[in-house]
Amino acid sequence: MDEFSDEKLIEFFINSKEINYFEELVRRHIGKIRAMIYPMVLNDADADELTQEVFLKVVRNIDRFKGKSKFSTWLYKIAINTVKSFWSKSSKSRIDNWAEPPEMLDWKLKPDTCLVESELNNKITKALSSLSPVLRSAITMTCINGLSIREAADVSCCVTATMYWRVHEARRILKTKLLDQV
Amino acid sequence: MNNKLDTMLKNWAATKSPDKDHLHDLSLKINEKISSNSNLNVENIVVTKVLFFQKLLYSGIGAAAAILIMLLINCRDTPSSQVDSSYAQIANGEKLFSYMQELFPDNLRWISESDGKINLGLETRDNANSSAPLLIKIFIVSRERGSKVWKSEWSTDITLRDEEIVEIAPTRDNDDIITLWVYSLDDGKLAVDTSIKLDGPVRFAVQNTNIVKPGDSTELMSLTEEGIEYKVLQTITRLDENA
Repeated sequence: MDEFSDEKLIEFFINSKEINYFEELVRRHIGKIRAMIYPMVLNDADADELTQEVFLKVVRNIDRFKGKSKFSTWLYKIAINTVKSFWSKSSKSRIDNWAEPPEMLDWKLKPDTCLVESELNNKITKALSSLSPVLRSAITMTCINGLSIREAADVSCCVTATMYWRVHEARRILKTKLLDQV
Repeated sequence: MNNKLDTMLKNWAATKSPDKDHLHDLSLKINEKISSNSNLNVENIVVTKVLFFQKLLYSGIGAAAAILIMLLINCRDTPSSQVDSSYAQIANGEKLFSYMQELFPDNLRWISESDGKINLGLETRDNANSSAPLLIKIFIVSRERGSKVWKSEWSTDITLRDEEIVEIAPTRDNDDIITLWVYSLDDGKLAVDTSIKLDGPVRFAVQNTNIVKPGDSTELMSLTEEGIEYKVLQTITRLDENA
């Protein structure tokens, strides 16, 4: 089905209700959506759960997709809103204590390199968790997931200037927190 | 944008991304849920909404309600045609927030009032947000074509703190929803994200981001339906918590 665009697959799915068209959309986008959600929730189990929830919301609301924006933009919007709901539901917008197990280290690397990398990753996780939800989602979309400021603004339903400011503010805070690294 | 911080963040994200097998399993779970759940039929659209006040601390509501009723009786002296946040409203907002803050010193997140219905947003743990509360008033005014007189159709008051994402159902219609987020800028202005979806008094949906000065009114949208012109307006005022 690689030859079909996302929009075509949606059209086929709505008309035929054949699940395999939707499965193809899931296959194409699940990696990006999981990668978008994880930095915002900083927990694997929650990221998996919310990724599932995003696609279930998509299938429920699929005929609301009018093709005015790219399917991926619409999908990101749903992902961001799903994470916002999760934050408001669970008060997990600031993560002070991780429920995650300690990182599994790859001992094939040199042990000292391995430990330094692990320590740096933990610092980054902690720095990200100190950002407010809005700033964290801004830096996740732009610096981590590579969306342009304009795309991120579109996903967040705000003007470009606001998104510029959010990314700038998030980077300023992260630089302060990771002072010795950047 | 391509600097050391971005590279660090990207490298960090790469270490956190699951392998192909994990994503494949996740895809299978999604597909199974879709196949097994008849409610997910594309013709059967269900809008899921999560409300903040699901987390209300029910034990305190009785006492709070009694005080709110007293306050509401005292709050009714504002003319309905007045569309800006008057001194009386600001004072009532401050009084209300102050009372509730005493009742829920560590948990109060926001208060909303519309159509005489009050909702409190309480959190089950201290979120350590001690910024001054803000009163946001959203109102809909209307006038008939050719008329110069605007009349107030509907309004809601929401008191919240900086950087809270507040999502409320302001009416009895469960599809109606208002989402707000406010951030104080260094120069004293406020960045405000507003998203509103209402079915009445006129059906509309609007999403808007503005940088505003406290006290300024902002027009979120205007529309005309059946010869009646509607405007959706918003004002934000800083409250003095110790008032």
